[in-house]
Amino acid sequence: MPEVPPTDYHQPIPHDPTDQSPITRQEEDISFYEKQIVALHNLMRAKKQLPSFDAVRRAAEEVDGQFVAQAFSDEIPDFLRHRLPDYGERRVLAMERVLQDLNYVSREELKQQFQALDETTSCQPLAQVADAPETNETTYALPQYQVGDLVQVIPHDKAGHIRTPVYLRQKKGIVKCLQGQYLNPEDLAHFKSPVFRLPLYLVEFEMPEVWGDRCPAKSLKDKLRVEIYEPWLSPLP
Amino acid sequence: MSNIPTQNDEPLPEQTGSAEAHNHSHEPITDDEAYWAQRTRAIQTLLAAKGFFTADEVRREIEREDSVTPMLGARLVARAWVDAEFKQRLLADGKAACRELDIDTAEIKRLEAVDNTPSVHHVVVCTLCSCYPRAILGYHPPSWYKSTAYRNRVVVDPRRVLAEEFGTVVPDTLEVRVMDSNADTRYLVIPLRPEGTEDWSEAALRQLITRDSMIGVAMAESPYS
Repeated sequence: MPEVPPTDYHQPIPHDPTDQSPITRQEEDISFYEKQIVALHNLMRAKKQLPSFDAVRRAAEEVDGQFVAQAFSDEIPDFLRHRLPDYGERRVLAMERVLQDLNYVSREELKQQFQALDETTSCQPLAQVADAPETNETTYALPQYQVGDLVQVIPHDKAGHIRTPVYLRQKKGIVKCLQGQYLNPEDLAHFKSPVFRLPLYLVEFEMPEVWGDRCPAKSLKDKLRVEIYEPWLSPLP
Repeated sequence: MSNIPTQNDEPLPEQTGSAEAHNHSHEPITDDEAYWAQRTRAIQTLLAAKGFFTADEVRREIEREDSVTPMLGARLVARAWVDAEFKQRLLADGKAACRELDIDTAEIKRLEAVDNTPSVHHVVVCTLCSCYPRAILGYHPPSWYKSTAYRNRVVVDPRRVLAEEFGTVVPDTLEVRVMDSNADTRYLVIPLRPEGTEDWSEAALRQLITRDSMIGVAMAESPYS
């Protein structure tokens, strides 16, 4: 399971605090293919053929970055290149990427199978399923922070998949809980080895600290609670 | 489908409606739905050929996921409303409480129930993707939960989003606590038990507990509505 480094066009999930667009409450029916790709994803994870869900999250961000940068190869047909893929479409493209990362399928096989247009397979059936990848784990350290500690999110501009929302960079908060120690999803997403098991904290942020002048008057005393892995935090006196 | 025979004498047209007949056209697919269906089918066929799973396992997995509805969450909340000790166990360890009710949460690493009280109202979002307690509220979150508009706005101005978009007015005296479900924990909101339900049975209470009330964009239904 070789490490997959960040692509040039990978983009972290953006957050636009100025967004005023309406929230469409109408609920769309889920297409069958979307149910199918979600089921395939969950099944592969349940069988441990995917070491975590994080790689598909990372790949979905790459797909978005690819569309924004218009960095296409032949896997995206012309008629789809003029808009961002929607939720289910992105999941299909992300799954394809991860299955190729793990050498479970090749781009050529996917192409041929798409052209085959029926359920007779274009690939050679294997006598034995590929070995499930193993994750080499190691524990980072004893948790450095305690409940009540003041902390600040570091301004780190890390490439690749990140799990700290961009709107929290350099914001100050207070540790409310140690949630436990969890494998670093930022490592898992790129198939790094070893993967560090990190202390994960629930950190509370005051709304005015996060949004400054943009904070609505009615929310001056409201709070945001977000889980942050220890390397994203620095201590405050 | 109707089985009534046609009344006219014209010969029936050739059957052309099957997926196979349609798919064997050599025109490139330009219809989104058909295109993505074909692309997904290709993935499944390849993985099945390589022995990762059978088509039957995929069908059963889709059925399993379809069978998970917010009623599982409603069972947890209703039990917590009528049984204070269960509520304490649910707040302490969500996954263990699910096991008591035979609710499978294998895919959730950590489940935290957050308690709405007369002084705090919780609302859940995932600003990074669409993290959601799928095993207890359903495998496909509502479209609005996945939308960039909800994800951008509810963390900045939760009171306005709740009031204007969901008709849920949180009194000024309550703290609004927005839970950004960005990492390993999935959150289930325990809405406030409505007044006037003191002598209601657990089964009757379940009917008041909506999906949206367990995300925190709504209150539980009122017994008077």
